[in-house]
Amino acid sequence: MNTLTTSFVSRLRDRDETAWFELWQVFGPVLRGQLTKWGKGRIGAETVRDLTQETLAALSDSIDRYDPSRGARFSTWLLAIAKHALGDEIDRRMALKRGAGRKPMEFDERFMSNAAAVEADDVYEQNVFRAKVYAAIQRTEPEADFVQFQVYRMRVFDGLTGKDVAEQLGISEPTVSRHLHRIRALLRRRLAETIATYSFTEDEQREALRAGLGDDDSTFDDALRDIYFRQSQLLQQDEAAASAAF
Amino acid sequence: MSVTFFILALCFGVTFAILAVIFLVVPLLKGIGWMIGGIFNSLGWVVRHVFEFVGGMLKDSVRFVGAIIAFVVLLPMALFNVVIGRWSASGHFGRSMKRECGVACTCLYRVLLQRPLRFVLLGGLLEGLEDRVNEAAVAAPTSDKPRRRTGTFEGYTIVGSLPGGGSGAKLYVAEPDEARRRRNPDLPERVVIKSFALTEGSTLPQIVRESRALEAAKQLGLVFEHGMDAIRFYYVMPYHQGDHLGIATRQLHGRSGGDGLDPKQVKEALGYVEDLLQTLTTYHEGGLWHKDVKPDNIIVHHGRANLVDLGLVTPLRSAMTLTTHGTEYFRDPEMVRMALRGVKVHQVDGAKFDIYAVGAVLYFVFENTFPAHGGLSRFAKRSPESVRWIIRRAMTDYNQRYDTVQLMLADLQAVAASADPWAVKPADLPSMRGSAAVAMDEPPAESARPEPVVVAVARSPVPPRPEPGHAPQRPGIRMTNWWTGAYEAVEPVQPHAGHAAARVIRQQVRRNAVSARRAAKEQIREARARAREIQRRAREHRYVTVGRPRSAEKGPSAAMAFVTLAVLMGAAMLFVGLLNGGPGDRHRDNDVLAMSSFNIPHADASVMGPLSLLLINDHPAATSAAVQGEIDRLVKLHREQGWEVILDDQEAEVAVRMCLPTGPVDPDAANPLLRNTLLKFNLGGVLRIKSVPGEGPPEQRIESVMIAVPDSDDAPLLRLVVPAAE
Repeated sequence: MNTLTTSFVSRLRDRDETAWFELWQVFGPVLRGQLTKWGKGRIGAETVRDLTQETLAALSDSIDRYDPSRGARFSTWLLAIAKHALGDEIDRRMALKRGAGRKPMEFDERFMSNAAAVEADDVYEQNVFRAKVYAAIQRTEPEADFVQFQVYRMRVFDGLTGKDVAEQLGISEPTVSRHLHRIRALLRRRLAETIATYSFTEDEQREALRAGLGDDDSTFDDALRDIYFRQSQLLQQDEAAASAAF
Repeated sequence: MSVTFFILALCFGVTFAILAVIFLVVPLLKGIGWMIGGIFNSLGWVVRHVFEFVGGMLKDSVRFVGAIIAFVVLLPMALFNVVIGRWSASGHFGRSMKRECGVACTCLYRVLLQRPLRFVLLGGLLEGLEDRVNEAAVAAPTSDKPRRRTGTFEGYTIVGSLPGGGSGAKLYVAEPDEARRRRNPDLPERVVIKSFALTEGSTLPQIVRESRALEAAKQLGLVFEHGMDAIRFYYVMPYHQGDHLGIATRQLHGRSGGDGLDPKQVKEALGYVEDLLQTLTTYHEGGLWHKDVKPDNIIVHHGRANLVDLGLVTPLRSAMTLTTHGTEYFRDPEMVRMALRGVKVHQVDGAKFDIYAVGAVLYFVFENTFPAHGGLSRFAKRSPESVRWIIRRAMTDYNQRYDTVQLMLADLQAVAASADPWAVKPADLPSMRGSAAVAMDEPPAESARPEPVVVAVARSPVPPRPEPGHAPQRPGIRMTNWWTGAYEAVEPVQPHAGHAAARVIRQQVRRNAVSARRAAKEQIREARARAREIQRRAREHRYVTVGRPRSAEKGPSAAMAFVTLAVLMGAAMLFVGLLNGGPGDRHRDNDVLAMSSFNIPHADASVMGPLSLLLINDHPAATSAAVQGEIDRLVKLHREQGWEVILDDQEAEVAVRMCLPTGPVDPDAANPLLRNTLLKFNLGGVLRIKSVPGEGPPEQRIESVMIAVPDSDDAPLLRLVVPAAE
């Protein structure tokens, strides 16, 4: 664990509401997607939303007992807790259905020892990674100059040519290149920081390089665009589920 | 001759054959591959579709049977409890039966209608039944008459009701009688009465919240009157007949074909948002913040949009703490963060949160869906680039979005006034005037050099703010009734003539101080240049290096440089300190840190600025014993020289990290952001623990870099590598 991760975990431990809100914002959609998948139609979207909050609440209770030396990945850690919360919820429902009102299972530290054994499929891992990258983009936007960020967005995310961007904004093409260069540099910095914050292992920290978010500018832009689109789709699905639930 | 001809023909033939293979056979094979792939994909889709249908039918059938069995089992239990008089238990089992009944009906509906229709690709037929009918049922008005114990509203005849919102209030449509209208000529033919009764589920906090801005709303004509008795609180407001903007938006997209709005619909949509912005102008000028702008609260009637629901209206100068109330997707996440931090309403500009919400509404109108991820939401439908720009500017960071609704309105009107909205470029918008020119004036790029860490401070012009002297100031507020939130506007105090004179004197003094500082800075800069030159020469002679320590006898030039630099800067600081009349503002200009590659500089408050160093541990094996040992050693080493090493200041660490360079450090790169951040936290520098590239375990590759506060914004980063322990 690096100092960014430890300081973030410390904030969580101190019940810093902003940190919890951040975690909810970044990983809420991924967790909801995973719980929906596991629920296999047995639980509705509204319950999934409640469950995700429960997951984070469980995380809040158990975070003091987290031992970084066990070597679990950040994503596996979240997943183990989510799985535990889901099992707990289904047991509770079954108990209620029988009318016995059985007390739900106590949340204990078992998930911690089981964390390494939890099967984190590739889709989930990819979703968690994309959530991290998306969080980095979100962090970059308020920090970057508005016009410069829009130039990057129009060029990379919207797919306009440099000439079109220059024409739309009334600036020269070299200026467009300069803006792109600056935003890319800022994105790289925030990306490194965000991934470091939400990673427990070195392997997680190297994910960005494996995904093409390295030094090559064109590969970096392509990879970022791909992640942005995929994460947007996930968020749209999450939003559609939320609309259906309410 | 014939042999030559034969060879030439052979070469020609071979070339032709290769070209034919490249340009004909390869694309042909590719095309065949694509076709085969397409066929397999289609087959795969059909198989998947069939399996989904069959699987779904089986699953729903089984669930239907299961629900019926559960129902049959629960029925005698419910009846038995009725017989023995256990009403609570019978109610519990009754609710369980109702749930099972719901599950069974849903499964039956899916088996008989939904799945077969979807199987033959006619799922669209059910959209109206599943979505719109459901929506209409949810939005159906409540009872037309208030309950008997709630009583009637004197002077009004109730003629209908409206669906209540989330506040627990009842909304009645009423007609004022003649006497009432004579007393208040402003009353229209029909009004809405919003009533909160403690006996009907409303709570006191809700009533207090609603009443907070009532007097101000009355002054703006948004509320006609209000009343309160022992059990009930109500207020009367204008009635706007029509559908909400969500329905109007759906109709607009229905008329446009679903791929985005047509030019005619674009004009209509922009008209609605213009109305909204004009209404918000009234709110903000009257010192109010609506706080719940969303499509459901915008009623469209006869081509005009009216903003309703005063449930969350808050005075902009309120001393209360921000709350997270509002509607997701239309509420700025930054507001939630501020609320969680306990920020007060008067400490922020609430109008900017309304602007965010208008941006979200504009997105909703053009995309027919919520902005699921705030300012980063994607545009999937056809819309003019200038409208996208306006939306993004409204939904961007709090500090960079439109300052006022008037600025946003001006941009929107520029698009709406154009014959072809698609022809309007973002550069043509009124808020963008000047931005392009500034962007063009930027110095040419130096792509070969690493990026200096100055991106975050380089802001392009935001929409122009009014001149401070001529800005229409918001009126002050004096509370006259804490219960109703009544207040009276207090005109802003005009500057007195005596104040003006004092201001002129202050400006003169400031100007003198500035010119004196400038002279001092000039001297410091010269001193630094000389020191840099000495260092450069020393480096050429391999006396000064970055990394391992050198023996003292090898570095007379560097030592000389250090002494020269320290003496010159000390003198310069003394000069600046005298000009500034004392140490009060010293840390802004006097915070020069002498550097050496050999020794940790002694912390001297007369020469340097703050004497605290923030420790940042970036080593991959941060918690290892070796790194911790090195940290202990460094802390001791620096403390001996008078530095205070701060090990755990998360806030400062996060802020400083944002400004630290990630790549190789350019010795000539300025970093004003880092400098200002360090000064903000009263820090003299950063002590950063990293690993150096190389082979072997990372614990043995520790590098400690001290980054110190440079003396001015444009000065290069001062960097000192502290020798590692032998």
